[in-house]
Amino acid sequence: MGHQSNTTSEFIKLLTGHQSSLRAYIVSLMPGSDDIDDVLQDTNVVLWKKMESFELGTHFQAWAFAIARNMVKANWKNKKRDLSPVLNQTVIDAVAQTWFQRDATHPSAKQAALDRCLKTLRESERALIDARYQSPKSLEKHAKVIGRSAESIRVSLFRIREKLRQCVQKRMATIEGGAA
Amino acid sequence: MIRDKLKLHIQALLDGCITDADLSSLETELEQSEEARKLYLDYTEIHSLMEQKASGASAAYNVVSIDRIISKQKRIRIAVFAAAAVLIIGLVSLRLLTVQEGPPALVFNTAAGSEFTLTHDPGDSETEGMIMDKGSRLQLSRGTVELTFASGVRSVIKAPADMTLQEDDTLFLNRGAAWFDVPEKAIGFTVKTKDLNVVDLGTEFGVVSKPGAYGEVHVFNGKVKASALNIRKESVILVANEARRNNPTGRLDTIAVNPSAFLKNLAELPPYLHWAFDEYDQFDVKGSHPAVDEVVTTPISRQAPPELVQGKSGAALLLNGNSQGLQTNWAGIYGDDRPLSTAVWVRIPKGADLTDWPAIVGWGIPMYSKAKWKVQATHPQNDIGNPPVARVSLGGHFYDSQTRLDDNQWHHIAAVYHGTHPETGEPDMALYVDGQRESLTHYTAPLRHEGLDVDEYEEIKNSPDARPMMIGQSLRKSLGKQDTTFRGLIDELYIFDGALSQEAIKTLVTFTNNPQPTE
Repeated sequence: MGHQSNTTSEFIKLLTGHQSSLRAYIVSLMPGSDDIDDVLQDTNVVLWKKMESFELGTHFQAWAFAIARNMVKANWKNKKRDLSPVLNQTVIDAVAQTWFQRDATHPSAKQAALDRCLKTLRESERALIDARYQSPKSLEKHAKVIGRSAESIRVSLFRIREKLRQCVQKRMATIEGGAA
Repeated sequence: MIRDKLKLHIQALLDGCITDADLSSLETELEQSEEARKLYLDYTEIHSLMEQKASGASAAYNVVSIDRIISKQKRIRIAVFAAAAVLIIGLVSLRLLTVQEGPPALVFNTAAGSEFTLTHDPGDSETEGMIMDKGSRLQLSRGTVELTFASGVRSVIKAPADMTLQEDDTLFLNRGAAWFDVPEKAIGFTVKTKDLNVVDLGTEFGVVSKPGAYGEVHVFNGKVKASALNIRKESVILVANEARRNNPTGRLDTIAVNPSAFLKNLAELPPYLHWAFDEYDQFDVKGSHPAVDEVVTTPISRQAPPELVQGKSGAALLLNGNSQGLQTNWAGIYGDDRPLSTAVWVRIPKGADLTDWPAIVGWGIPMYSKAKWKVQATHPQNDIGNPPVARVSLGGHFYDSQTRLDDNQWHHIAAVYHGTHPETGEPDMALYVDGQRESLTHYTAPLRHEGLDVDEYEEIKNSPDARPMMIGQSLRKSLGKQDTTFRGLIDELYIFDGALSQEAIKTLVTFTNNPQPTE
């Protein structure tokens, strides 16, 4: 009972600890899709059911990503209205492969870095990025409120996300450097 | 591909707005370049984390903000993600497959616009919705909550409040002003604060718990046993119309019973639009009125939009008199006998010049019968020598209140139009300042049109001469003129499509009286 309970606890830690990267992985395979969170949920259920087949100490992310990849494919198959993925299959294969060639960083560290970087944004930049991620409608409203065109908003968003990307990269490099 | 163009294409793809040509070009780049793929994954990760952040669901924390989840239930896609978060919490607690037995210890409901966070005991994976079980903690940052215990105890608590259900019949009130009605079968129900223990002996009572202050208990009916938890640990039985406050030595000092410190019901309000002017919302409107999704509020001057500063509740709109008002695309509420109400907090600096009738809020065409609504702070006779008071006007009818407003303190102004008075044939109007009904001075001015019927109201509403709803700005044609903008602070503006009762206004005053420290 004790051993079983410890194994389950370890598995749960791995599963919860990989939620952010699992979701990002799914987003990268089906960008712009409305079904991301459905697929994530389905993936979680399958991972939980298959817990017994996972061997602690082996590469959890590789195993979880493989299952997520299958769930993404199943989603395409089940969606009669949208049979084909946005990106072509060769690109999806290449993208999936690249995930494993990147340096693995703890997702919570990345989330923390992003949180810090968001605080460095100017108020107007923060308002814009918040409006973008609340709902598309609020972005439209925001555009009207600040009296700007959709195109100029898109350009601003581009700059802000680039700023965030660079900031997160810099912070992660510092963390990794500090840990080394 | 030029790197900037690659970044643009990646972002357009993630935003779901990439063109076919750009997608084709992006695919080629992603297929051929590992650097491009790494960049794609960098953006994807940030995009996904931002989406997770916006959804409010984080699997890493055992905290679920139920108000967020409930709001998402209208959108299936995100509700599923919320469910995913709950699933993961369940996994953490190792109780995924257990089933909750029996009814919940407590269900709760909140007034419209309330904001709260609900946190469950780490061992509780099943509690979902507006339910509390043993160990659940409810933190109310704004608004009012009504608790209904399984035992029949009913409680209404206003923000800011923080409470934890310790046992089925024991509530720990870390912060808040809470009113309780305890039926006979629930005698023994207990409320604890940091320094008080209040045991019900069949009654209706209130408990106040504030940071940095000693706890209070007020009894309205029946009796309770109140005990201090510090030093002397005085314990007394209190009966109706008695109240005590704990002191540093643990003695319970007698104080005046104060029923007005508590709410007994959640406010039932007509459809409304609400501008909170908080930093997160900026000028956005919320509310239950059908127009809420169409109303867009913009600064009249794009060069000098109004600032948001510390307000009565969160942030407030600061207008300095220099064309800083806001305009909306909403026509307002029209109709001969259509009741309506406006409620707002204002703070007017001493000696402020409010001549030339700048509105706090208004719409329509001045001097058209009942085709203009305007609430303002004004010097009677437009004479700066007369201290400013609240005024509401409907067409050519003007009603001035008595309370002086330019004392640099917050005042709540509510104007209510009940429709045409059946005896006088004039507007049946009421003005409330700080929740108290004011005696009114009535003026009239010559009208350009009398007795418009509904069709004509529609015509006027759509006329180019009609002002849409404006905030802090005169409705006159001299729009934008320096001297026609309000001077002072405006906060928590509500427009109701119906007449508010005095009780509802008092509730609203309490509901929006929620000062929060600046971060």
